[in-house]
Amino acid sequence: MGQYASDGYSGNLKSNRRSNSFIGRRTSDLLIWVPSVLFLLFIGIPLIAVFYNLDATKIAVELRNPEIISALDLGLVTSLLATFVSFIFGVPTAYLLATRKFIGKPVFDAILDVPIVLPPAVAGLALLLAFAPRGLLGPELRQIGIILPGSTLAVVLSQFFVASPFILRSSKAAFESLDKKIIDSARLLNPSRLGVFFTITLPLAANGVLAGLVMTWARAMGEFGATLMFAGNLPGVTQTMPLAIYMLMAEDPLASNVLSAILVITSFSILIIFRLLGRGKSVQYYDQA
Amino acid sequence: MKRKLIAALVILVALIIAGGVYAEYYTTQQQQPPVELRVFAAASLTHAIQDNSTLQAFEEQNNVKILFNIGGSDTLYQQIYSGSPADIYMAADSAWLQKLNKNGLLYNNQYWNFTSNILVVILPQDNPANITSLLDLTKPGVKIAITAWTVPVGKYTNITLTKVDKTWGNPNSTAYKGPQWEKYRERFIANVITYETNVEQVVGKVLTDTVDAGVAYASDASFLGQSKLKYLAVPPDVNVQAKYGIGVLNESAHFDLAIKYVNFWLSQEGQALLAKYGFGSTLPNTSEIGIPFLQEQIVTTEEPTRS
Repeated sequence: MGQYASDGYSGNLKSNRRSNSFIGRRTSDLLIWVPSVLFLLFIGIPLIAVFYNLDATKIAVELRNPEIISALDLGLVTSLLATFVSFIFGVPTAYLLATRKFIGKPVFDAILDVPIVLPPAVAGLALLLAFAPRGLLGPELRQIGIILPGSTLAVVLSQFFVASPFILRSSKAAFESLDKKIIDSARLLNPSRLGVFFTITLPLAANGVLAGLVMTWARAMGEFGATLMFAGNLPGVTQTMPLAIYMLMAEDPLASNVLSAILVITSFSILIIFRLLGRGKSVQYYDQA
Repeated sequence: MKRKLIAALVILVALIIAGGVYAEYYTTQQQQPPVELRVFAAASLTHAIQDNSTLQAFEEQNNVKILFNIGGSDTLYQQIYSGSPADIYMAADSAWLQKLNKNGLLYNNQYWNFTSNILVVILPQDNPANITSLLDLTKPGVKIAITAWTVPVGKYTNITLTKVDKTWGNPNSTAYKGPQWEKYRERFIANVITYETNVEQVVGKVLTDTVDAGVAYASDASFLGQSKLKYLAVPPDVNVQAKYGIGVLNESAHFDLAIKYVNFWLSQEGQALLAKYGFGSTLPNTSEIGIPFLQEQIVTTEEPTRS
């Protein structure tokens, strides 16, 4: 019996274990394929609909519109920055939660998970109540000269607030799934803890971390409610693509269709880039000691 | 794998830089005007305040760049109350200005009622639910869009609905119109499928045929005209006159310019511009239903009377 870390098998494992269910090969295939295809259709059809009635000539026009450019640019820059910041804070926190025990750990964990279940508008309001000039920390921030609402920084913070749980969860799961024995042996050979982290731990967890990064970025890119509430709807300063599309939907539904198409293409491209980077197994077990 | 992570981060940074360069290339680089005025404005004012020629003229004359934060008046109030930087606040309900004033946030404790508006029911161009009267809105299966009750137009809608209940649907009232009007508000609300965050979203929902009817302002009706939507007048005895308020915030860094902006809207020129966009309409004194520019678009003015 090998102890392989296998990540999937096809077909039925003919093993010593008795198959105690009457579900045969064909039925199990159906149970797997039917929901998957339906799932794909449900997600795919709206995406197709965005491009179906699209006036393709309008895309070129809209891409030269300075307001659209600023919305696109703002959305990309802020979401990437938010992802970066999520990485900087998320990875160490994930490592802490995955490897250390301390008093109050469950509460710590739960608090950091709240943004996922919090309605974005509530998140925005909470940020406003905390960091706006008349908020909880407002006066202190103002003394340092930082006024957040109405600034691009507020957009990044809103996105960070709602999107960071993704990298946190993903990295934490990745760190938790590591084989402690490998880390321990590495520590024997390398006295530097940080060295071990960067040469062994992080590379082994990289797939999970990368997946988390992609989800974080995606969530940040689409962030709307918290941004609208906390940062406001100022074109060129805080109006990201989702906000621009939302505003345009009322005035010019065709233009918002074009914007949606641009957003789908952009998001898809960046997603593919990161998917390609994340391919390949990161877990390589060697038999030799 | 570590190399891939580094590659990912490098690409991240590269994209950020690329985005910045692209934006620089396409947006015209002008000499930045020294003064920036932040106007928080109600969604219904979107088109009037961004009227191209007027806005450009004002900006050039006063060497100022105006940044508009457009949204529901209630959301804007929350942002201002929390300290979001703003110079001017234009709300679709003077009550919000009054609230700010009570908290001492307005410059010189002053605010002005600068225009008015009335409610109108908007219908998609093809009117799929065949709505011909206010009563039809309570037919089962009709889908209605309104704003949340805290948004000014939502508050006004609520007032109108309550008025209908208390007059047309109240047997003890002299304006009683028959049993079909009783519990109107309840039946209307049962047909509401969405509470939007501002009136422009309601307009959008009707424009895209997502709903069968919406409650919006006469200014929206005026702006869109008869080519895009059909309208149903709301008779004056149950309609509400919206009082729009404008004020300068205490924390504004540019009082002179802000006052100038306010004065523009209070002036003849400003009022004419607002009228052009369908604002300033007042409820007619007579019981005759009539908003002149909507006369042709009104689907029907007949309210079913008691038989």
